Amino acid sequence: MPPASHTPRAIPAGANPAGANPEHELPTISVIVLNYNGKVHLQTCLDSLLHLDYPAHKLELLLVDNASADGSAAYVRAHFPQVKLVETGANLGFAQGNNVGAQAATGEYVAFLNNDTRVEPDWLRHLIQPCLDHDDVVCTGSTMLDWAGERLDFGAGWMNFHGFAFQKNQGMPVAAAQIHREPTPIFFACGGAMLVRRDLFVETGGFDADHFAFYEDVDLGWRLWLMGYRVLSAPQAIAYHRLHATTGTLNQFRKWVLFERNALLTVLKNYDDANLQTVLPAALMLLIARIIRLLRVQGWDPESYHIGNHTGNHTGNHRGNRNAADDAELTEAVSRSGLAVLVAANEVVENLPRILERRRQIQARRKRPDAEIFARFGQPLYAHTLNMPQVDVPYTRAHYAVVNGAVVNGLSVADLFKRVGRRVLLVTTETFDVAAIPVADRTASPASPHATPFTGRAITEAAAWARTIGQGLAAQGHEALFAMPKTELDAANQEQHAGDGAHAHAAILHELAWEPGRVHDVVHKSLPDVIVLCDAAALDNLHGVSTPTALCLEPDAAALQADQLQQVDFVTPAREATVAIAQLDEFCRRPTKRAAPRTPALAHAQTGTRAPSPTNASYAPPKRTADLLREAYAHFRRGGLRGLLLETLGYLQRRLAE
Amino acid sequence: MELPKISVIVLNFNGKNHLETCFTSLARMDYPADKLELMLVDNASADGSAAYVREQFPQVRVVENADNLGFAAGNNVGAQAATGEYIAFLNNDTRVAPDWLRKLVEPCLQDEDAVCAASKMLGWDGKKADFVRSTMNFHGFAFQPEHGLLDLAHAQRELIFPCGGAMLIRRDVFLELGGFDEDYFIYFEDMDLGWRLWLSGYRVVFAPEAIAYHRLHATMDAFSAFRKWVLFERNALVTLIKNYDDDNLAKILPGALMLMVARATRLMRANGWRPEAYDIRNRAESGLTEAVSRSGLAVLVAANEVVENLPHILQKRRAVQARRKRSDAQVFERFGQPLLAHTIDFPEVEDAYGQAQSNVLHELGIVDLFAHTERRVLVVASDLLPFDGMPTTGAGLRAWSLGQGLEARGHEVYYSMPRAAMEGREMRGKNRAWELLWEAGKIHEVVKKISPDVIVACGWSTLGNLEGVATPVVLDQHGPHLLERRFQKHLDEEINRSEKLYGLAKADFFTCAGERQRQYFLPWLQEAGYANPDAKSDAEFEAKSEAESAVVHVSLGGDWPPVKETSPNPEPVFVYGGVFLPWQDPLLALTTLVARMDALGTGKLKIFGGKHPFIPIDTREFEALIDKLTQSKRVEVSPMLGRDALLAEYARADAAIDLMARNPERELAVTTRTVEYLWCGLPVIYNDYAELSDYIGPAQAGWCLDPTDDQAMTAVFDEILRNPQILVERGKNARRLAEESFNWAKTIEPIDQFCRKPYKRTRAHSVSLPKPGTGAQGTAHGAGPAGLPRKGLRTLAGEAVYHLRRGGVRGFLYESLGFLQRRLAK
Repeated sequence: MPPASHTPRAIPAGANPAGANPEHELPTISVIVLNYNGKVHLQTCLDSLLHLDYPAHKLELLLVDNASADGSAAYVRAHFPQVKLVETGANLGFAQGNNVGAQAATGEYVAFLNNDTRVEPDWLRHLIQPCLDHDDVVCTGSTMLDWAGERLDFGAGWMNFHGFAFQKNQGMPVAAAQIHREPTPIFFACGGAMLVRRDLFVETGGFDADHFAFYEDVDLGWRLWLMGYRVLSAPQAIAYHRLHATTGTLNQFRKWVLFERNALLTVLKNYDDANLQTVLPAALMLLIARIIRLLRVQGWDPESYHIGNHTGNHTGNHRGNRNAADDAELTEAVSRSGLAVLVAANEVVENLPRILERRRQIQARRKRPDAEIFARFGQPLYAHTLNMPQVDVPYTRAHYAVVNGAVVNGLSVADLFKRVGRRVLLVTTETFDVAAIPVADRTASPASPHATPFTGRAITEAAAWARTIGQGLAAQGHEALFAMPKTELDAANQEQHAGDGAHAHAAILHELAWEPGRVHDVVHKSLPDVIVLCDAAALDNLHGVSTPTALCLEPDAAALQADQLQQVDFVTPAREATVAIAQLDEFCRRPTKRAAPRTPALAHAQTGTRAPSPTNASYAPPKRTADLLREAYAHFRRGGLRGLLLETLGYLQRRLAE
Repeated sequence: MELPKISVIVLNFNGKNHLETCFTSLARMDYPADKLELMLVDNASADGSAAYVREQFPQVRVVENADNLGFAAGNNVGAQAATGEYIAFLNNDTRVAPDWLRKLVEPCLQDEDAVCAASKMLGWDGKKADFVRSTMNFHGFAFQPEHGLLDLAHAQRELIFPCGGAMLIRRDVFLELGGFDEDYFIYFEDMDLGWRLWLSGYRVVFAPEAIAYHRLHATMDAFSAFRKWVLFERNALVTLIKNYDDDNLAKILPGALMLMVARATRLMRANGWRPEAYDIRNRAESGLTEAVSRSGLAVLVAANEVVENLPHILQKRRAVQARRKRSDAQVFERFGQPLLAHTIDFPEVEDAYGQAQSNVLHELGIVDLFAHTERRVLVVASDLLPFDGMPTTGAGLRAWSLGQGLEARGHEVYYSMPRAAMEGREMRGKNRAWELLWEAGKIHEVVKKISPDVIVACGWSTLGNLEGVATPVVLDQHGPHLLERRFQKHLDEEINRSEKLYGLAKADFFTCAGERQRQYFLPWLQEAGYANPDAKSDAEFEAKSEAESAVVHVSLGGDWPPVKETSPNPEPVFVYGGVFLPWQDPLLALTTLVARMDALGTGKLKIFGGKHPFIPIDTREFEALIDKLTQSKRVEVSPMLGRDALLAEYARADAAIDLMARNPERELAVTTRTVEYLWCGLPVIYNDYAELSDYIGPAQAGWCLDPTDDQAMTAVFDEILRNPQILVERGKNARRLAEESFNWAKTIEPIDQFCRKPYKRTRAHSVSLPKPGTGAQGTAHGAGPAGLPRKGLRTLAGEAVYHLRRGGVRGFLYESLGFLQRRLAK
């Protein structure tokens, strides 16, 4: 039996309740569940589909089996005779497997659903509704929640300029996740629970089979937008998702190949000619930067490759080469994750003619200019997170962020997206009412203000300043999120007895409240493009944050120490609010991470001195024991005992090198 | 002309043992002492260089750096300190000729724009060229063509860059441009300087008579290859980012980065890495790390350094671009080899790399940027070429004419002949051809010497020997070879067939001498994997294979012989020329002609020809025929002549007879000798069944006759013999026909187009061709045995030694394991 369904009450009721359409006006829909060795999930998933309130004669259920070895097909045949079974005969991957399903389907629309989900009974009615309301809406996305219905999995899909997609507010409690009341434009619908017009899907080539798996949904979304259609979220169409139960093996690096390759494919196919010329070199440069950083994960040191200065002897024993005998080695061991990125790029290079042929087909159908699509990207300049604890150490992260900023600004990518507002996290040291400030996704109409714990309270001057700045940035089109100190927020809630999470604003304030020294937790939850510190008192809490950070000094702030300035990338010298906001706006449009000292090789070639090794750079704070343990556990989870050992050795090596 | 003051700067790092020779030669120069400043810039040597020079060469100014600044910064310090109007940079491991500096500055005094002159650099013994030429490709890799070959560079010419090891530049210009870019440390800073000079509106000129002798590359040998890779790769990328204009950079930068990815991957692959193991469907558990080639990693390190220093590099770019006075299109003409694939030096991945580069060049439109520039082409002939009065054959003349046609279009052409063809011959003077003879199984060595942008291989059997090159290849087939072999009673047709398919599969573009031949070859091409494997229809498939082949008629050109207004002879002289080949049967035509000459008592037949110059072919039937014909006193037989002598004979003749019995080979043939007759203005008595008949007949450039119809022949011969004046008009027609239809300047178009936008054909993955057996012996036109598909013991042993030298015992072991693994995987 599936768990009892309940619509989380934090999702506001929409204007188009299910059942608004008479039955005879509803189109036929085929729901396609793709399955690969997921027999354990099928009963729950298919049961929930059988409980759909969609008229049975307008509904076709299909299970596409990607040659599972666990008897899935036989199971469905035996237990779900009403489900049409399509057997592919081989593992075709996500993209082609679903394409085969769409080919076999007969409905006017197809809905794709992951096998590890269950849906609400009114899921399909809500999911189809935006398509019925608007001619140009041909594709909709479900709201996907975790299995318990507590946290958001997918509400809206965003993408950065080099094709990495992310799920807005993923992992946030439903109440804090700013789920819209109304269907809202989204860049793409998650392939795990979406709906699309079948004829169009099939005719435009469906999911690109070259992707195998991952980002084919992003590519499809972009393609639909550029063809002049729209993709909308269907907030009330709710599917529950068991989150990625099958991951966590040593073979993670193989998935990296797919993510990296498919992101690059998406970029190559969908930008128009002029924008591709701007974006492609930047995408490739950042890809190289990622390779190098991932290769470092296992302790490899690219600095050791430099011909350093001779220091008086000429026996071939030079700097940067700890042991001259080393040089005889033709190979050395490096991280497979880094090599995976190289494999991905190389696959694109090797298949260039084919990819660009596909590009020509897509571009020939363009009806909407890129500039109109860019706003849908959501976070075009967001620095791709490597998302591996090994390289999420402050120095590496920070370093990648520096490169990201330099590349997007140096190669004019930032200019392409300067009209797209950024997601800004304002870190305050005071608590206050933010009701008047729209915090919703700036790509849609803002949710109406709610009461918060502070409604009607008097606030301090510092709080007023922070609020003014937030208001100003929101007025410029940025999305302003606030991180307030947790202790004070809790205290305020005690006072007001209003902290029950019922209001979106209050919930998100609590979700994003920061604890001393751990602002990075909030950053990881909210993934902002830019952080704005509203006063210098927040400075010392930034360990491990690689997001471009601006400090917005209060009018009466004391002068800062040089080492304090080192911690941020930009300081507003202006102490007048409108000027400060204008400067922050400019910084947000072209965010940069302040350049670290010039990189070793070029620098030391010029000055004759070796730049400091990054591992003892001053901005890498020593790890706390708790962090180390957490990392150790992560490695163990990922790599088992062997992985842990490898990691440990690498760590010791690095420590020794320091 | 007034000589300017020049400072000669010798940069030194621990090179004391070189300095005596170097400075002694400088001190002996004939340049006026009061106009000369000799300087040593010492990069903190530890061997007492500075003290040595102070003591032994008091006239030399010594500038000491406190640290090793590298090549670029070291020389910049020297330039700052120098006082001359010009500065000359000279490597410490050189010596110069006494007139070196006079000759070096000469081009600069002739032309104000020529602010920089490149010295000629020869090997220490003066026999081989070190630097006589510079080229670069689109992604910033520099090359020194002719390096290690005979020095034939006698002309003053423009170069994209001078070699930093021996060059001269106006000091104020050098300083104003910021000197050598010090970020380079070493390598390619001279290329960058040259490019900047060109785009700033200056010129760089090669001074062929300014000679420096160079001990080759001692200084950098101490560093292992992968460290140098970092510098080459990084500096190339920095150079291109700084110097292209905005539009071109936008096109080229992604291409350059993609090719770095391709190089890194292939270097790793060459060392045994298998990216296929990264496929998601591969469920094998793997560790977190894997050992890969350091050279491959070096490419990534290089790219990453550029990425990390991007703001700094872009700032330099702005400064460079602010000085632009010349458009990129004008500078491109100086690149020399913009499309040359950078050699990876691992034969097993060269081909795949060439493929990747070709895709990138074409798909990103880079190839179009350079279509107006010319290429360096290597013509690989299967037969003797008509150099220095040597005799030639149809195959040789065909190869030579393709090369001449390409030269007429501005390309630079090198010719390689089979060594077997030169056995027992001598060539006059210094000639490149001697250096470029190919031996079976070793054509790649010739390719390496020349680094051509395109290879034109004549005859597929040559391609059996061409493994592991990234260079695009045109295969020209001047006739239906397999048919010829039938006449040679070649026993193993299967070997023959597989050789042919193998050769065809290697090539990227196919040409042959006639349209009928092409129709004959099309199915072969398709079997060899031509046409896009993704073709969706038969029509598309055929269209593609058509696009990958073209007809280049047998052609001549160059110095056209004078047109004859009247016959030079009282009695008409007929010629019959060429090598005797068993599939050619002129018996009836020749005997009929001789009979009519004897009967009418007028006319002469001169036969030039004989055995193939170096391939043994049974010619007994011919000899019997000759014996028979020479019973008439109207027949003269000469042996094979050198081409010059043969043409002189043709010039003295009135008509040619080229009428042979019909067979499948003859029907498809477009014979070189026939075109040669036309070119000389000789009307040709020809057959009525071949492709050329369709030209000769309508043009009235001779007579087209049924080779079995001796009555028709008799009628024509009698008409000619009675009224020789009719030959003059038809001779003019013949000549006109040659100019219009068989003129290499025109017919070379398809290969010229390929050279301008060369590509590596996309190989059909589905086609896997049997490699020809090792037993195949070269016979007839296919001089030399076919390729050695499996590595022989000798090759393996050679590789083992190579790996031992490179990697020591560990490296060798590593390689051996990799080899075994790969063998097992098969």
